[in-house]
Amino acid sequence: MAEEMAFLMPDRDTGLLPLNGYLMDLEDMTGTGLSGAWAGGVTVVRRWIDEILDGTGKFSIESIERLTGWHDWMTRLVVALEEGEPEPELPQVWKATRTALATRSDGFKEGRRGQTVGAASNRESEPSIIPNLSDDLELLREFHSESLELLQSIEQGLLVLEENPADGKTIDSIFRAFHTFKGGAGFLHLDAMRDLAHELESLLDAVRRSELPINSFVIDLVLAGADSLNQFTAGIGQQLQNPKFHGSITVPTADLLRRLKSVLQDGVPRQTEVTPGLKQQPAGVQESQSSPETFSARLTLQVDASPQFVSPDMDIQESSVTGQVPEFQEESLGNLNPAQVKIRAPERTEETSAIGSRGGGISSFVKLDTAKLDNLVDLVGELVIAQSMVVQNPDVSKIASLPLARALRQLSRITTELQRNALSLRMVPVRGTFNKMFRLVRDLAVQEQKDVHLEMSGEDTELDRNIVEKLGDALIHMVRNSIDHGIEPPAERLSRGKPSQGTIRLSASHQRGGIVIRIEDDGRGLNRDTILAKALDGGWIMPNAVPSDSDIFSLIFLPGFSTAQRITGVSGRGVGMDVVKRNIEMLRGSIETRSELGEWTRFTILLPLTLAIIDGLLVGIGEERYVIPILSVRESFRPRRGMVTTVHGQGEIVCIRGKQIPILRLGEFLETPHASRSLEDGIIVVVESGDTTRGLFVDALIGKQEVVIKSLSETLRGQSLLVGAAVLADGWVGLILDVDTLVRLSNPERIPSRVAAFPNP
Amino acid sequence: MKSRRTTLNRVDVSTRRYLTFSLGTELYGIPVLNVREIIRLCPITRLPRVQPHVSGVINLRGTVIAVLDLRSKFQLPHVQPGERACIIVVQINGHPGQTSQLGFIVDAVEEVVQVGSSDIEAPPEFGGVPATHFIQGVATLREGVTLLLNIERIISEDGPIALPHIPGERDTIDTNAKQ
Repeated sequence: MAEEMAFLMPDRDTGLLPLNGYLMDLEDMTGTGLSGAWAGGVTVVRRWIDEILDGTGKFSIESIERLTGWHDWMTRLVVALEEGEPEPELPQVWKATRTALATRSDGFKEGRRGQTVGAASNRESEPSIIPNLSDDLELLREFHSESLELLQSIEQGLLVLEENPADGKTIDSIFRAFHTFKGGAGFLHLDAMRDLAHELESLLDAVRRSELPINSFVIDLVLAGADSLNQFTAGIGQQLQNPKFHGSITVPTADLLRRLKSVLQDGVPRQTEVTPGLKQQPAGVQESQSSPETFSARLTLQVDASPQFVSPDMDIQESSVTGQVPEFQEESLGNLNPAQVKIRAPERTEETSAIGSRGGGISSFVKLDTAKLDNLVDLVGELVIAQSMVVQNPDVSKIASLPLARALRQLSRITTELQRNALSLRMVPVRGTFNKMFRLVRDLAVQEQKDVHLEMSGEDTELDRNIVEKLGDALIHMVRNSIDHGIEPPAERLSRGKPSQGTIRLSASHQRGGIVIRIEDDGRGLNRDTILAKALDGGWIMPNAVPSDSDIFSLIFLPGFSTAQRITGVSGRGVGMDVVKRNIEMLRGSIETRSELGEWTRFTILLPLTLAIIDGLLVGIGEERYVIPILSVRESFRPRRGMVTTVHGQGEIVCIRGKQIPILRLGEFLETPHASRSLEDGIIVVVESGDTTRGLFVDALIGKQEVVIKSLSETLRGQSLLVGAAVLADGWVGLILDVDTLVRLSNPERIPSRVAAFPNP
Repeated sequence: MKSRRTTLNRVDVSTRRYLTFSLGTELYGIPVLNVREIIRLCPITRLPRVQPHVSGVINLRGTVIAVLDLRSKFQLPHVQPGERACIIVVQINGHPGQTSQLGFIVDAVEEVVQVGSSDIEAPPEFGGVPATHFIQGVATLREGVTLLLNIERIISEDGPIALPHIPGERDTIDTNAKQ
C-alpha cells in the first residue's frame, strides 16, 4: 500500500483504485479478530477514501499527507501487534476528524438529499454518464468487463438472499460488489453510476448492520438498481464496441435514487415487512416521497446540531416514522416468521453460502483474452498438420530407423494430447448460462403469479464457449415457455393433485459424443390431439398422414404455428419456439420433444462438443475444392439419365424415391467452370437445412475429412456463402460452404434457367 | 472532436516510419506499425462471388487471411505479377480488442523510410474529397512522391478506390533526374 501511496499526486486520481482495493483487503482482515485499534484505523481511512470517492475523486495535498501519516501509524500498529507490545493510540486528531467528518458528511448528505428530493420534481433530465472513450479507453474496457461480472454475482447473491435472507456472507459479498463498482465508476467519473452504486451500497450496509431488515421490497429495490447499472454498463459496452455511438448514456434512475434515499432515511420497510414472495409497495415510501418539506425541516435540525445532538435527532426521526404507521408495526410483529427473526439477530451459519456453491465465489482462474486462446488453438491445429506432414513425408518414411520411428510416434502422441488440451481450454461450464435462468424464473413467476422452482444439475458440464453463448438465448425462450404455458397457476395445480409449486428442471450431461441439455417441467404438457387438429386445420400436414408423437410435437417449432395455436387458448406452447429451433440448428444441434398430457414436458437438446471442428465432405468443382459439412449431407449419388427433368421456371429437378429435389449447379453458382460436361459425369450431393433439401451438383467426391473451422477475415464478413475456411491436409485453404445459405438463397428461379442436360424422356 | 482527430493524425505522422511499395510507377507508403510481415506471392484460394479486388484467401501459418489485389482496388490496370511481387500482411484494429490481418498484393516492396512531419504535405484536393479521405499525406522522398495511405479507411471501403496521381512534383523530379 505504501508503494501505491508513493505514486499519489495532488489533484490526480491515479492510484485511487488500487488503494481502494488494498483497503478492502484490510477491511476483510478486520473481521479476523484483530484489535480494536486496527479496526478503528481502518475505519478512519475508509472514511477518507470514501470521501474522496464521493467527492472530487482526486487526491489533494492535504489528503495525501493525512494518508501518509496514517500509514506511519498503521505500520507502528502492525509492528506493535507482532511484538506483542501495547498498541499505539489512535491519534486524537483523527478521531476528531472522524466525528467532524462524519457530521460534515452526514450534513452534506442530508443537504444533498433534501436538494435532490426537492429538485427532482422540477428537474426533467434523468442522470446520465458520458464515458471518456478517448482518454480512458483501456480502463473503460476493464471496468466494463469487471462490472459485468460484479453485476452477475450481485444478481446471484440477491436471489440467494431471497431464499435465505439471513445469509450474512452473501450480504457482505453483495455489499462489497457494489463498493467495488462505486470505486470504479467514481474513478472513471461516471457520476450517475457512482451515485447509484453508492446509494445501493449504503442500503446494503444498513442491511448488513441489521438496521434494515431484508425483505422482498429491499431485494426488488436492489435488483432494480443492479438492472439500471447493467443498462449503464451495456451502454458503455456498446460504445466500446462501436465508437460511433459516442455520447452520453442515460438510464432513468432518478426515481430509483429517490426511493433508495427515502428508504435509507426513513427505514420504512422495517415497519412494513412483507413476507418474501408477496410484492407490495410499502405505504410509508409513497408518503415520504410526497412530503419533501419534512426532509428539509429535519435537514436544518441536523446541520445545526453539534455531534452530541445527533443521536437524539435520530430518535426523533425514528419515532416520527413509527408514529406514522403504527398498525403496520403491530401487524408485522405479530406475524414474525422464523426467517424474520433471524434477520434481527443474524447468525453466522458455518455452512457454505449458497452463492459460493452456485459459482459466485472466489475462483482461481486466470482471465485471458479470448483472442489469445483462439490463436493458441489455431497454432496447435497447425502443429498437428505440420506433424502429419513430417510423419507422412515419403522421404522420412523411407528411413528405416527404429529410434526415428519411436521419436515420431512420441511426437504424434504429444501433438494429439496437446490438441486435446488446447481445445479443452475453450470449454466453459454451462453454469453461467444456467444461472441466468434463476433470475428469469423468479421474475416471470412473479409476473405470471405462479409458484415456480428451478432445479439444476450438471452445471459443470463443459461446452465450447461459442456454443454456450448462443445456447443462452434458446434457453431463455424455452424456460419462458415453460412458465408461460407449461406450469399451471397454483390453484389449478392443487385441483389436479399436484404440489402448488411447479418445478422446472434444467440439466446438462455428456451423451452420445455430444452434450445433452434437458429442460423439463411438470406442467400441463402438450396436447397431442389439439396440435394435430391445428396442424390439419392449417394444412401443415396431409390429412391421411399418420405422424408419430415426436413428429407432432416437432410441429410446435414451425414458425407461425405457435401463434395460431395460442389464439385458441389451448395448450398454447410455442412462443418463439421457431427461434429456439433455428438457434440450435445454427449450433449444428438438434432438439427432441416428449410430453405426457397433464403431467410433464421434456425438451432434449443435443449439441456438438465444439464448433471448432467439423466433419467435412471434400468435393471437387473444376479446379477447386470445397468442404460441405457432413451433418447437412443426406446422400450423394451419380444421376442416371432420366432422373433429371427441367420444370419451366424452376430449373432442374432430380427425382429420387418419389421426392423431387431441385438441383443447384455449384460450379456455375460459385463462378468456377465444371469439369463434368453433363450431370451424368458428376455427383449430386443432397443437402438439407431445416425442411428444405437441395441437390448440389459437384464434379467429384474427394473424401471425408475432419477440419478445423477458421473464420474468414473481417473484411469478408458481409458474405453468407461460406461458414469459414479450413486448412486442408496439404496446406491449402479449403472453403466450407454454408448449406443454409445455399438452400435458402439460391432459389432455382433466381438462377438463370438453362437448357436441360437431359431431354425429358 | 474533429480538431482532436486532426491533432492525433499529425502527431502520428510526425513519429511514424513508413514502408513504401510500388504499383507500376506509383509509390505508396503505409505505417510500419501496421505491417506485420512481408511474404512471397503464394498460391491463393479464390473466393466465390466476391468483389474483383478480393483475390482470395491464403493460409498464413494456420491463420486464414484474405488477400486484396491493390492494383485492382486502386483501379490500376491488371498486370501479370512480376518477380518482385509480394504480399504485405497488415494488421488493423477492428472492434475493440480485436485485430484482423489482411494481405495486400503489391508489385514490389521498396524500403522503410523515416518520414518527418516537415516532409509531409496535406493531400491535394484531387478529384474531390473521397480520394483524399484515404490519404494521410503526401511525402516527397528520395524515390519520388509517395502517397501515405490511411490503411484502415482503405480496408473499410468495400468498393474500389480511385487515388489521385500526383503529376506535378513527381514529373518535375523525373525531369530533373533526366537533366
